[in-house]
Amino acid sequence: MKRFLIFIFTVICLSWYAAYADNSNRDINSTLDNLEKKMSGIESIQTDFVQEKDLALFNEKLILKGKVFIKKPMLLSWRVFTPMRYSIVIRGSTISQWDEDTNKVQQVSMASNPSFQAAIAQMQNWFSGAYKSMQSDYEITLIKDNPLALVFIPKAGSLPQNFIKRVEIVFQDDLRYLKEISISEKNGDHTRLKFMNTEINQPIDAKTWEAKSSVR
Amino acid sequence: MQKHGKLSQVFANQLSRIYNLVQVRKPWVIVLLGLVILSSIAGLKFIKYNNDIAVMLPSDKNVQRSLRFLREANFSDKLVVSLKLNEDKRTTEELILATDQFTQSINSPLIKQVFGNISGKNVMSEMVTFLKYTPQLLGIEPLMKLEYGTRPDEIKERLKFIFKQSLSPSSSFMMPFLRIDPLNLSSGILHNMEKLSAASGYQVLINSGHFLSRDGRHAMVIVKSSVVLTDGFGSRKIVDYLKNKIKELPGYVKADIIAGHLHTISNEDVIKKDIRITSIIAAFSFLLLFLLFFRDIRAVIIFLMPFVAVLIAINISFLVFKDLSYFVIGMGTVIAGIAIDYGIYVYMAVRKLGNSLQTVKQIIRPVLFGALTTISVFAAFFFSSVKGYRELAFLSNLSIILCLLFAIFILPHFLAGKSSPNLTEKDDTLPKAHHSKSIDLVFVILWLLVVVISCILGSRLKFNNDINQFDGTAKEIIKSEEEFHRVWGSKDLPAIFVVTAKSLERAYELNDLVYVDALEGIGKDNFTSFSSVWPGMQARKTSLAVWDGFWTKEKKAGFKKMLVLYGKPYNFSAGAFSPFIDELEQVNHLELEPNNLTFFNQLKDQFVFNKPEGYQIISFFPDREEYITKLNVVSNKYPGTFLISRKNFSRDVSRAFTSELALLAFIAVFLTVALTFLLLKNMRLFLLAMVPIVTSLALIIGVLPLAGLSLNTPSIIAAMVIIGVVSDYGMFVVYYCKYKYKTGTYLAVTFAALTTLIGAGVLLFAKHPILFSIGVTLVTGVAAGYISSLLIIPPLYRLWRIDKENSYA
Repeated sequence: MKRFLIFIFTVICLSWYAAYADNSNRDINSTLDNLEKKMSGIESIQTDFVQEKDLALFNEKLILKGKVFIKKPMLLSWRVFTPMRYSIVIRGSTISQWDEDTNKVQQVSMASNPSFQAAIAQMQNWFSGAYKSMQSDYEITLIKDNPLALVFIPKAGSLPQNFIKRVEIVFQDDLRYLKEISISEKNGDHTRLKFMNTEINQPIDAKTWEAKSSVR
Repeated sequence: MQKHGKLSQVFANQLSRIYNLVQVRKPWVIVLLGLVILSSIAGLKFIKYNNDIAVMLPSDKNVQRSLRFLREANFSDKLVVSLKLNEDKRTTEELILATDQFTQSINSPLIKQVFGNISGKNVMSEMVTFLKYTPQLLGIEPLMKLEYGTRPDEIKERLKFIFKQSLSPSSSFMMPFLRIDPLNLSSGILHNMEKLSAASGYQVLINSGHFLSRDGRHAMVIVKSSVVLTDGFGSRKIVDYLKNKIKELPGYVKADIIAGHLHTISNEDVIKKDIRITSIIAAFSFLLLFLLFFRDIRAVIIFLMPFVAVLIAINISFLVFKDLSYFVIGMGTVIAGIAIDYGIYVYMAVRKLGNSLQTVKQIIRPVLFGALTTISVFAAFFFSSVKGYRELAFLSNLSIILCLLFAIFILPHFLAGKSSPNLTEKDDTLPKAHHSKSIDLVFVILWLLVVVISCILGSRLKFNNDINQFDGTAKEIIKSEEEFHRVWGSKDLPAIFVVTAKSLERAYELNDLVYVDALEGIGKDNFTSFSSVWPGMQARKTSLAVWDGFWTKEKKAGFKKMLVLYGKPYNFSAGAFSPFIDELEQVNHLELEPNNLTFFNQLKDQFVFNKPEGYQIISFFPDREEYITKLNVVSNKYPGTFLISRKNFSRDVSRAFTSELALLAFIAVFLTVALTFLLLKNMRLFLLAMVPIVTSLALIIGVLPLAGLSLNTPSIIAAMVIIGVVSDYGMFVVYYCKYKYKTGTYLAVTFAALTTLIGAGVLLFAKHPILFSIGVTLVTGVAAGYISSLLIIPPLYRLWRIDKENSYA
């Protein structure tokens, strides 16, 4: 009798788990579809950010403040204002970097720099909202509905598994863009990126796509 | 003289004996022949055909070594699939999903591996592990700069740089590298590694681990197969399999396959189609020619003779060579066109004079010598080192001999019973119309002018030795490849420097020596060698000794202090660079290769090959004449090394062919000339018989540049065949001028030329460049030889007053 009860209990648990797994799969797919639909209308984004870096390299958290601009298909401008003015602009396959200390622009070709390529591609994926294609690299789980929050765990054997332990993304209430990204790295480093004053599909100054410019 | 007469008598007796035997045993001969034909038709099903270009190339050491290398190289079994978004509204993400769907759907025993994305398991940690070998890999020159790099100012600058890197959005990727190598000592090694990864020349962006084009609209999948590109049957199977998988892709994704396998299939298809089309056109034209002009149903026998001869010869050739080249089979119509000539000569004579043994005896001498000159030209190819040419020699000569035997011993018996329905004396008196000295002179002067002008035009003729001209791949495939190179780059394939040695250690050492010399010769940017990332034991031992010598106890202590002191303004932690400091304290051991580093093994697989005879290490460099010359010097210095380059290969093929063709041409010309002289036994007659040969060769070198073509090996071979064919016309016409036998010589020569022109002319419809090139040369040469035989030899004969009967009144 005891065995029979254990068996019944196991069957019930398995059925619940199967139903849950099926539902959660369906949920995440429909969520990602919904997100992609919402974000597909985005042609450009400009948003302020605050980045907190808790790295083994530093004694204390490093806090960066700046602004990021993205324009489809392949334009990205990352501008840091504090603690030091620094910018990186990606135009197609060319990367330009500038900092106020040297006041020089350094150009790198992505084609000749695969490691940089991989890093930039990851970053662009996080910012663009194209999470469905990331399912081959990450196990994506919905952890909260309001505000929407997703967790990305790198799959075994994937490239991100080399350095990322976990990524959590929280979306703005209207789901039009990200509110926050937290990245926990394998080496114990942790980065949190918060977005504020996000503007979508607003005109962007052409000078933004030059690494050395005073755009703020 | 007496001996010669005796020989002739013996020959005549034998001829009579066989002729009479066939006459008596006619039904048995028919049955036997029928059985042989039926067996030959059945045998066609079992014949193995070979479309490998190698059978058409000389057995020169360098040529064969290059071919063997290319065949065994690990890229000969790879196929690339280029996926493309063909709707503007579709995104890169959709392309990535389709690429994953495609790679996951592939499951076939023909396919060993599919690379649609980077298998990134532990690649970063492996890279960091690999950097622990930096002290061994740096080489002497960078180590010499260590002193400068560890000066206080330099360290301050480096730390500032590291801080700035932490501001970048991609800093997480760089941090492990910056911490284990704060002095940036490994940048050269990483750069070399990237250079090695990009040695294929493809411009690939990595997105979500996938290989994408710069515009994000194309994705690349590499398929490693168990089928090498020279395997025609296997190539067809794997390409068909991939094409079926491509059909399963969503409608907005189009995919092209790029692989040498497609060239193999396409060449085979093009040649097969050419053979089919040319055979049909030739057969139809022959039949039409005989039925319309001879208006005699028995003419069908002449038409059938060469086809039967070629059919039997193909079967016997297969038994001898075990397989037959498609290119040689492609020459079948030409061989049939040539072999039919002897039947025509006999047919014309029998129709004029009846089917007696006497008739056969009247024509046997020029027919036999005509066949012998043609046979001797083809026989010259037996001395060739090219398997395909030996096959051609065997097949052609066997076909001609069989046709000759049919023509002399069998054909006359089937022409019995009817007198000639249409031929009269008038049909065969073409030259009488021009029996005026002035007209003869005009003909000869015009002929001289044409020959001289052709020779002048011939000065523009160029020799093309590029092996690619023989690639008959279909236009759609070439178009796909052009599109592929437009998207992915890498149009110009690099040349390869190959190092071979019995042991891996020796191969690495030799590779180092070559690398040093190559850098001196053509510069670092032009030579991509595995030695730049992983040198041999000796080089690493030297590097390690310099490293250990530099990092004294005091030096290490001073360096650590500076890191702490100059790192303070940036708030660097005490353990910020502990990975580097820890490595400084480690004792370095020398190993032949790093253990268990997947990324290293993957990189090594592209450059280091384990062969049954030892190890091969390859390096890449641009395929340019000046580099090849310089690296040839390096290769000559180190035994066991050689170069693989398209240009070098063409040069090797050209050199091998030039020396070989010179010998073959000499043999062919010598035998033709000797046999012609033996038949005519008169210097003037002999020189007249040479007229068609001279005219043909002059016209060929004049017409080829006019047609925008260049001289190539197949056209030289074709020119040699022409010497054998048109020498027959010369012999027959001179023989006729001299002996005046009413055997229908002019008409026979005309039909012989027409049939050969049909056999060769159909090759002008061929799509494959080898067959087309042969076709143009043969048509020009045969037409020129025929016209000059009929229009120039008789006037020259009369002008030269060789006999009174043919002189002017």
